[in-house]
Amino acid sequence: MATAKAFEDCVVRGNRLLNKERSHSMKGRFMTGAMALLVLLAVGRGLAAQTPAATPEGSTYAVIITGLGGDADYEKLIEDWGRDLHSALEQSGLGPDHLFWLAAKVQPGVYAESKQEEVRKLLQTLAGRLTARDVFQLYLVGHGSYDDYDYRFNLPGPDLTAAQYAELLTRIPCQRQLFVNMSSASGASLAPLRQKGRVIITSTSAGQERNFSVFARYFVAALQESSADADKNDEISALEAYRYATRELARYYDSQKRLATEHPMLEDRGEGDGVRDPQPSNGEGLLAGAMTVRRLGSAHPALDTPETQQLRARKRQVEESIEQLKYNKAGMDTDAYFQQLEKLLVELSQLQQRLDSMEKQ
Amino acid sequence: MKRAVARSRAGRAICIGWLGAFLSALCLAQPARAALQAEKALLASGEYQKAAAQLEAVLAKTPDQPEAVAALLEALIATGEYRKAAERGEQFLQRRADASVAAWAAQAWMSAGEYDRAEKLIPPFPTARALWLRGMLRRRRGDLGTARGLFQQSAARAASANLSVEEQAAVARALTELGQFREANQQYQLASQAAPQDADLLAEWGELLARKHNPGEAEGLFRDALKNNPNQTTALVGLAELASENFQSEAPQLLAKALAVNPNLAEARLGMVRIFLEKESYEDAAKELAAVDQVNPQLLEAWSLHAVSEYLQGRTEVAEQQWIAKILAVNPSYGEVYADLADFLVLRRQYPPSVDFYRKALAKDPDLDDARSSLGIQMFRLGKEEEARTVLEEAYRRDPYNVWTVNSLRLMDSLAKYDTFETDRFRVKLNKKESALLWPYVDDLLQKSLASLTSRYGYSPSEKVLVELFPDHEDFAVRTLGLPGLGALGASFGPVVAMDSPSARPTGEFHWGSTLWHELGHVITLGMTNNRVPRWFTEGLSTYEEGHARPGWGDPFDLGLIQALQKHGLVPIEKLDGVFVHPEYPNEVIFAYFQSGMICDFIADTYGFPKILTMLRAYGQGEDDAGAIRAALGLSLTEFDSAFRDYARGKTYGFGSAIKFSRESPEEAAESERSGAVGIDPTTQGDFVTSLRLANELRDKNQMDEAVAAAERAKQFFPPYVSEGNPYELLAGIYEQRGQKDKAAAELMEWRLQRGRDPNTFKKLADLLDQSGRRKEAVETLEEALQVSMYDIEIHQKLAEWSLDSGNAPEAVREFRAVLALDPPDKAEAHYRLATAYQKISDRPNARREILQALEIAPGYRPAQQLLLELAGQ
Repeated sequence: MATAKAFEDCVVRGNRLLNKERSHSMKGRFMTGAMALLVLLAVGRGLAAQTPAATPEGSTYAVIITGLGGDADYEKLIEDWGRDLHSALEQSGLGPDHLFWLAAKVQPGVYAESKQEEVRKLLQTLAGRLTARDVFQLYLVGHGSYDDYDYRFNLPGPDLTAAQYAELLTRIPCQRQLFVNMSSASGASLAPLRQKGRVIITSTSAGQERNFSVFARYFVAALQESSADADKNDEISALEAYRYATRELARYYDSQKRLATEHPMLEDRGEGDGVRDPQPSNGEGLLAGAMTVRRLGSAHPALDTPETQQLRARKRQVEESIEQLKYNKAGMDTDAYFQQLEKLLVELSQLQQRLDSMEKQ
Repeated sequence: MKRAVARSRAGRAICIGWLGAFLSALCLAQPARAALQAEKALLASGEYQKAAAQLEAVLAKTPDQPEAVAALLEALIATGEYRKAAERGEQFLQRRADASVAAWAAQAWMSAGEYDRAEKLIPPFPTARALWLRGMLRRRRGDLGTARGLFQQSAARAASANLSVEEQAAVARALTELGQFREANQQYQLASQAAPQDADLLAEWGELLARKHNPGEAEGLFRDALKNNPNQTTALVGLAELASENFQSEAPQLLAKALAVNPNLAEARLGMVRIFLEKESYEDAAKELAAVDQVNPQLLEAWSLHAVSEYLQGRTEVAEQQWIAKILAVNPSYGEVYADLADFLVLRRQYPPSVDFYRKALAKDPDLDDARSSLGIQMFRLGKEEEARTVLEEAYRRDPYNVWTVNSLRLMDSLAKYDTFETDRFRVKLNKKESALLWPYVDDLLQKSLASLTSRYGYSPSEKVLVELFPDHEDFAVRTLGLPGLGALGASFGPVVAMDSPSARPTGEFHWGSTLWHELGHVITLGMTNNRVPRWFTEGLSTYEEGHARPGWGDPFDLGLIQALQKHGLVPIEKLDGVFVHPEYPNEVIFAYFQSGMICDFIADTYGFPKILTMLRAYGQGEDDAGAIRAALGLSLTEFDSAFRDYARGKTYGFGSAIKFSRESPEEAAESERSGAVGIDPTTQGDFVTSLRLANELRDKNQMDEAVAAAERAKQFFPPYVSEGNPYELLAGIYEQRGQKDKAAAELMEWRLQRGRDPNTFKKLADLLDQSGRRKEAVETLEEALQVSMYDIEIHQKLAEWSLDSGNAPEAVREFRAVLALDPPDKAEAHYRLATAYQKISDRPNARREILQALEIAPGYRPAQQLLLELAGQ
């Protein structure tokens, strides 16, 4: 029941963003996990056609906090990852009024020192500025600790605990939030931060995983790599970035023949313990799949004529049929599945070709 | 393989005997008991001679003290004076009866091989110790039924109230003989609670645990025993056996220490014999056996090793007709002799005859559990999996403690997770999680290596070769040794090859193709000599073959080898085989591989490759090293060593004369290379280490011309150095910085030929070559990079793209398939690119399948849509 409820929530949030054609096509149907994912992915595609940071549905705001390194090597790693993340989000279209980097050392590009009071000040300011329709993203990179009671993220001066971050984020009115904690012991921050509408990614599964985390290296790399865009929609979702990062992280430990000391988790139902491998069967990843963290291609306004509207409507119908077919794949004969898939894909390709041709003209 | 040998437990004497004797001893001994405390303390701490002297003094005053006599006999036995002990005991027993004295005297006669005299002395009173002794004597004669009955009676004494520690130990020994190991262990536990400091008891307990495959706890007990009594010979021999099983170098020293305490200790001498036989030092083995025969001419364990020695030296008739026949005449159930032969044949990789001998051993004595386990393991090694499983399951049923049995059965179970690929010549097992990736490469390499080796050696395996690649190194180790922890990368048992898969080791540390080629070399050389080729020659040939398989293959010639060469020198060929079994310093085995490979280079370069074939034929006909070398080269071993020394000097840059090790380890030396050198003229001064250090320093100071000069000089001193801080990469970096890409590529090409292993440097070289328009060499370089970094998606991706660009679509297909097998982040792209490659070779069904899979993931992926429409004819 909990899973079904989570799907329902996602659908409700998704429907607010659907255009008329989509709402019509979904009317009166209880959505399966796969269909819910389809809706959310379609939402992503809809956003791609808009101005990168600001959309009629709201804007995306991101805050990066890089903490203390402890020694020169860690300090450099943490700074570099923070800088690369900042750069990737800038390239995604977030301007200086939407993107804020707080670092242990003030340098070009850094908004303020990552002291507790600066973090509080910024988040309180944003809480007053942002609306429910906006998307808020918070990224932590550095060392974390867990004393079997509290998770703390190491900052210059007093640290902030997971509960304090939760309190600060609760004041942010955005209904869709992303909290990516890429620090050691970050698994302990998952439960305190868990909330409906919030995607949480942690680099460890528990507070007891205390070794330095390199998850950030691969999460940031995901935002720099077009290959992380698995569905080729010119956007990298939080789910795609997470999957890219976890795969590369596993490859890293495997190639080094080292026992993995961090096991990333994702939670986006607001009530689960998080999972390592989010998928429709465990109900995790639906919201993360619809949460864009990086836009790739240059956005341009779509041609809006009766003919293109009709073509797009048919295209969406075909896309939904493809998703429905994929959902039914397990129960189908393989040859029959691929024959039907090919038919739909050929039609989709032809529709796309016609649309592209019209756009060019 | 450890089997029971006659025990010489030196348990302390007690006052048990006939009732009259007991009572009189009780009455008479009372005043003397306190006086013997000092002597007993000396005995317990291993000061046997001092104890004996003091006991003689006591007995000179009061000769009828049985407790003192028993203690004296114990001291004499502990120092190997068996006859003296037995005679003193007999003299005393002629005056009066005493169970303890009788038992010690009997034990002394047993150690001297006088079994009849021993049997006569054992008192009729059924103490556990007396029953055990009689059981042992019956067992020696092959009267297993009677022996078993006596052991059962001895074990039944466990129920008696107030058993002394010594009696408890005898019960434990009887239980061990009955195969009731758990009960024996409990008995030792009980006894040690009563006498926690008793070194003899601890050592015996350790023996039991060692026999039941618990080396960790056995070692702890041996060491505890030695803390209380540093001269406890059972503990010293036990530790030596543990060390020997692990092929550690301490075994001879431990045995020598035991022999210093007791020069007649048969167990220690036989331990030395085994080591000498393993090292093929037959003369030394014979001397030790003669010493054992002199003390105990009836010892079957010694006769058994006589048989082994004769057999290994090719005198099989002497072994069979003289020794084995003699053994079986005395004890028709003595299967140990066959088990011994089998164990040594396994060491020599002669698996098929070892299987026959294990079978014979079990036919004589079905209770030889270790032999049963070994039989199953050898069958498994020979690829006879079904038979092996049956035997191992029976071995497990009889002895669930045998870790080799358990590990082998577990491994058999885990092989269910493997895919099997059959070709005309091979049966290959690859783990399901990596089989899709590996199979095309493994298949290709197996075909090429077998074709090359077969044509040059004129031999082709008569049956399919089984090849298994293990992603978990410990599985490979179990497959090879039966135990985890093996340092090797691959092993061959004749027509079976087991090795680490490319994923078993960190990237860049393992050249899997070279290893596979090496192991296939063994299949050839073992097969063509009927497994008679000596270890050094088969390893040497495999090393030679992998080194010549392709440019840059084979193990890098690192500084550790030079250090070993400078410190220990070359190994005379006569001793080379022994090094593989009993190295005398850490890494000597690695050096032995290197030297053996260089010897094969020497023979091929100097006398021609056909001489190698002549040698192999000679070994196949049963010749030893001297015979084979004389037959092929007309040289004695000494002449050969001398000729090889000159060759080796040339091949090792004058034994690395330009390398001065200022530190202990090569790593530290390499570190010092990097850490600083000043005031040296880079063009004329210094040695390898200082030149390299200087080159790095000058580069860091941006004095590039001088850095180049120093690096060039380091290269001249020792070209094979390709590890961290090597001159090739340093020079390539400088040339690249200067925009001289051709020169940078040339340096890295040389690095590759000198067996560089860093995957990033391979990638760098490939890029440099590609940027210089040398795409073909760039592709070859990346193909070589896969030998050390098979799981690098970037390499496969680039190879695929470059192959496609170069019009080599079949290779592109293989590489794109590899990319997909590696679970890439961008699967849609990978399927699309694979579809493109299939389209290029007009494989429309596969192209269609791949493009549909690409679009299944990303339906809106425009290039894939375009290709789909093309394929659909739209």
